[in-house]
Amino acid sequence: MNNEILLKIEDLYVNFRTDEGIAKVIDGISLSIRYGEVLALMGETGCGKSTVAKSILRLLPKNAEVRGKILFKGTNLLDLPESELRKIRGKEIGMIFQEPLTALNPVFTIGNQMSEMFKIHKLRIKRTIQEEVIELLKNVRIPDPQRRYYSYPFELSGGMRQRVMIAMMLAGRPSLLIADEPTSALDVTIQAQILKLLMDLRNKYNMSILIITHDPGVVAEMADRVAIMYAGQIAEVGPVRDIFLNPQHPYTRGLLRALPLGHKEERELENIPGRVPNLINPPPGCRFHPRCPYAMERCRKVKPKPVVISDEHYVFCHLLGGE
Amino acid sequence: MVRDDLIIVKDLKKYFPIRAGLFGTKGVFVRAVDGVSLTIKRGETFGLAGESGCGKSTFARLLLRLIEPTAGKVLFDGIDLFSLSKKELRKLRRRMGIVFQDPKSSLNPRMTIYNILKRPLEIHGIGSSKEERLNMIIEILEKVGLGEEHLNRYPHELSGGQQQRVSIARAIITKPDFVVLDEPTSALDISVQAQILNLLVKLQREFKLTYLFITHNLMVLQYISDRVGIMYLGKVVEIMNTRDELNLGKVYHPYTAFLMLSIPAVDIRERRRDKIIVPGEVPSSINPPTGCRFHPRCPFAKEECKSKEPPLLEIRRGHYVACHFPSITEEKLTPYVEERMESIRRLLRGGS
Repeated sequence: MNNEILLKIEDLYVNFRTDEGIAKVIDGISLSIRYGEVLALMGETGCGKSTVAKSILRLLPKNAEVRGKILFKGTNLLDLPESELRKIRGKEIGMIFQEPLTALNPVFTIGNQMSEMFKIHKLRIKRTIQEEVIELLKNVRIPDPQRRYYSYPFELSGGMRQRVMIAMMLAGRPSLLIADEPTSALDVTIQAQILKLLMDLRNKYNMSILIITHDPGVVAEMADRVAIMYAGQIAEVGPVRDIFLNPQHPYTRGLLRALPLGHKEERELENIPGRVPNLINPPPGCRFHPRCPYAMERCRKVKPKPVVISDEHYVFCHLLGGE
Repeated sequence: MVRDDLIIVKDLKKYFPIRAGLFGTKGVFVRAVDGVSLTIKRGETFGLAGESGCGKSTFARLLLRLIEPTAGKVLFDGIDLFSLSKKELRKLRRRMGIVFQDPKSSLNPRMTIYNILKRPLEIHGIGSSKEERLNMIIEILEKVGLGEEHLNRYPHELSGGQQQRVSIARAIITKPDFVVLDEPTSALDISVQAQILNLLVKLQREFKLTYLFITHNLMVLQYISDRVGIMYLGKVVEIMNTRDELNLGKVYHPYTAFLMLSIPAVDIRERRRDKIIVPGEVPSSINPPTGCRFHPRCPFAKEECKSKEPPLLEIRRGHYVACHFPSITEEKLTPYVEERMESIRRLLRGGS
C-alpha cells in the first residue's frame, strides 16, 4: 500500500425524485481510498452505502441527482462522457454484487460471458481467449475450470457463481474493486472462502477494494479502514482497529453493543431506540440526533464537522468538540 | 408429574421424492432429515444451526407436524405426535407456535393486525366474547412492545422489526409451551435484531416458553441458546451445552470447529492471514457421501470415515459427537476455537 489516493469522493450529495418528494439520500460525504487499500462502508438498511457505490460507476437510476466530485486517478467520473466512462467501468473499476445469479446471463455459458469481457474492453491477451478465461477461473480456485468453461450459471453453486463474477472482474485488471455485500447470500464456510480469496487477490494484484456491508464481521476480517454511515451521513471513519476497540460516535457504540456477543445470561443487548428517519424530511443537523441519548441543541441545528480523534480516526459528532 | 423433556425425537427421517425427467425417476430422494434423535428440555432454548440445505427447517416443520415424516417418532410432552388424528392434532397445536424468517411473506397483507391476531384465538376457541378476545390481543401486543394503535394497521404499514413483533405475538397468543423460531432475525438489521432477541428472552422468562431456535448465524446461536445442535446434510453431528462448552470453544466435531472459526474475527487483534478455512462445498443430499457425510471435506478423514457412519455418542455428560476421531479435532482445531471464543469475551470486557 502506498499513500497515494486512488479514488477521492468530495462532498457527494445524491437526491432521488420520488412521488412523495425529494429523498435526500446522501448528504454531503467525503471519502478517499488509497492504492491497495481496503475501505469498508458499513451501515444498516437505507443508510446509503450502496448508493455511494453506484454513484461511483454512475449506475444510479434516472431519478437520481448527483452533486459533488468523484475523482478516480484525478479524473472526475461525474463529468466524463458515457463513452469514456464505459472504458473505466468493468475494466479499471470492477464491481461484484450480492446475488451473482442476477448479474450473470442465464442463457450463455460461463466461458461465453467471460470471453465477452476480453472483446468489449479489447484486452491484450497472450494466448487464446479461452485459455485466458480458464486461467482466470484457476485464479479464483474454481475446480475443474476446463469443464466449468462450458457450464451455465444455474449449474453452479452460489459460491462458485461469486467466484465467476470475481474472475470476470479480474479480466480487466482493475485497480479498484467495488464489492457490494459480496458474501451476504452465502453460507458462513463459503463466505470465509470468498473473503480469503478477495484478500489473496488484493495482495497479488495490489487492488484497492471498496466493500459495502452491513456485517461488522466482514469489516473486521477485511478492511483497513471503515466508514460508518447513518442516514446518508458518515458518523465515524478510521482504521478498523480504532473504530472497533475505541468507537466514539454514539451510533457506532450502539451498533457494536447491539451485536449478539457473549450469552443472554450474561448481558442484555444494547438497544438503539427509535427508527431510521424518512429521508424526504430528514432531521436537520446531525441526522442521528432524534435517536441519540446525548443530543444537544446544537445537534438539532448544525451538521457536525469531522473531529480528529487520532491519526486517521474522525468522528462527526458535536459531543467531541469542534467549533 | 412434569417431564423434564418437553420434546423427544427418535430417529426422525424425511425424504422428499424428486420427479425428474419425462417419466419421473422413481426411488430418487432428497434426504433432508436422515435419522435425527435428540431431546428438547422444558424451558430451554435449543439452538439448531447449520448451512443451507442441512435440513434444519425441515426438522422444525416435522416437530410441529406441518409435514409428515418418512420414519421416526416425536413425543410432545409424552404424546406421540404422528399417531394423533386431525382433531387431536388441532387441539395440541394450541400448545405450539412458529415464527418465520420473513414476516412480510408470513403475515397476510390484506388482514389488519387485529384480524391476524384474532385468527388463532378463533381457531382454538379461546375467549368467549369479542371484548375478551380484543383484550387478549391488546395485552399480547403490549407484551411484544406494540400497542392498541397498531390494531387497525396493515402489515405493510409497519417496519420489519414491528412485523416480526406481530409474528411473535401471533405465535404466543394461544399461550403455547413450545415455539419454533426459524431464523427470526436473519432478515433484520443489527440494531433491530438486538431488540427482537431481547424481546424473545423476556417472553421466554415470562411465559416459560421452550424454544427451538433455528439459525445459520453462529453469533446469534452462541448468544441465545442454552444447548446447541449442529446439523450437516440431514444429520446432527454435535450436541452440547452453550455456556460451558460451545462458548468456551470446547467443540469436538471438525465441522463444528470450522463453523465456529468462520465467525469473522470481530476482534481485530485476532485477524490472522493464515485463516483456517474448510475446503469445498456441501455435497448434494440426494446422494450423500458414504460413511461420515463430512469426510470429503474433512482434512483428517481416514479410511474408516469413508465406509463407516459414526454414531452420535456421549463423550462427556450431555455432550454428543458423531465423529470417529474427536481427539484429532481436539488436538488440531479446538485450541483455535477456544482462542477465538476467548477473544470475543475479551472484546466484551474491554469494549464497553
